[in-house]
Amino acid sequence: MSIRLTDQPFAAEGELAEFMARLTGDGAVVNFVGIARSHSSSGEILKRLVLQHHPRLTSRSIDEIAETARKRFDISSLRIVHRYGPVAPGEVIVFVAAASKHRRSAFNAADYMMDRLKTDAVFWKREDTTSGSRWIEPTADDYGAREQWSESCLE
Amino acid sequence: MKILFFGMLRDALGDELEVAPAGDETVAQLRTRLARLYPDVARDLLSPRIRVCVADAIVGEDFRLGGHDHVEFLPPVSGG
Repeated sequence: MSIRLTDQPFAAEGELAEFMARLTGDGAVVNFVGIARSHSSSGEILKRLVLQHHPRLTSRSIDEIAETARKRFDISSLRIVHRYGPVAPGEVIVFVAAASKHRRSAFNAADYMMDRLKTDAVFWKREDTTSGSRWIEPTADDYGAREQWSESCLE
Repeated sequence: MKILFFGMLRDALGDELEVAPAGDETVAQLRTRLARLYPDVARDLLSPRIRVCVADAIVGEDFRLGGHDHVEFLPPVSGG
């Protein structure tokens, strides 16, 4: 498992190449790249996204998501790289990759990690637009996506 | 006692505040004290949506803060 939080821009291509260079005997790699959009959720021009993190709880929340993915899916390795601090439109916010013998496990693990990251990762996210700033929370769609992975009707 | 803020509370109150410890005050009493000091954000400070965290664990309204020198106010997380 490789997990990194960074306040510096990074290239998803480099992360994928490095991830793949360490694989041995896998038959599938699935990766996802999340990019800061040019417009806010309400259509205004985005100046930047600001991802505030907690000095300990943020990495703890991401570690838990990765560890659960590792136990739940038949994957051999995974990588998560997540930005914090100010992020400019067009820059990568998150890179997620999973490798497995066969494709389905890697698809599921990447999908699971992203759905959990979108709702459970400890970040406070603010959109700074040309007409003001707004703190954002996960959408109903985000919560619905996470719900599909629920293993218990009590969760 | 140091109070640390995150998310929209940080915009309103800054990263942290130093307040005098008030004996064995509970979380609920601290919320009320801060809400009086900062009426502009009183609604948020008193909101159950804002959770209070001590030593990296969420604590309830009756939790006594005596002996703790850091308290964190955490708004609902946005996710990544």
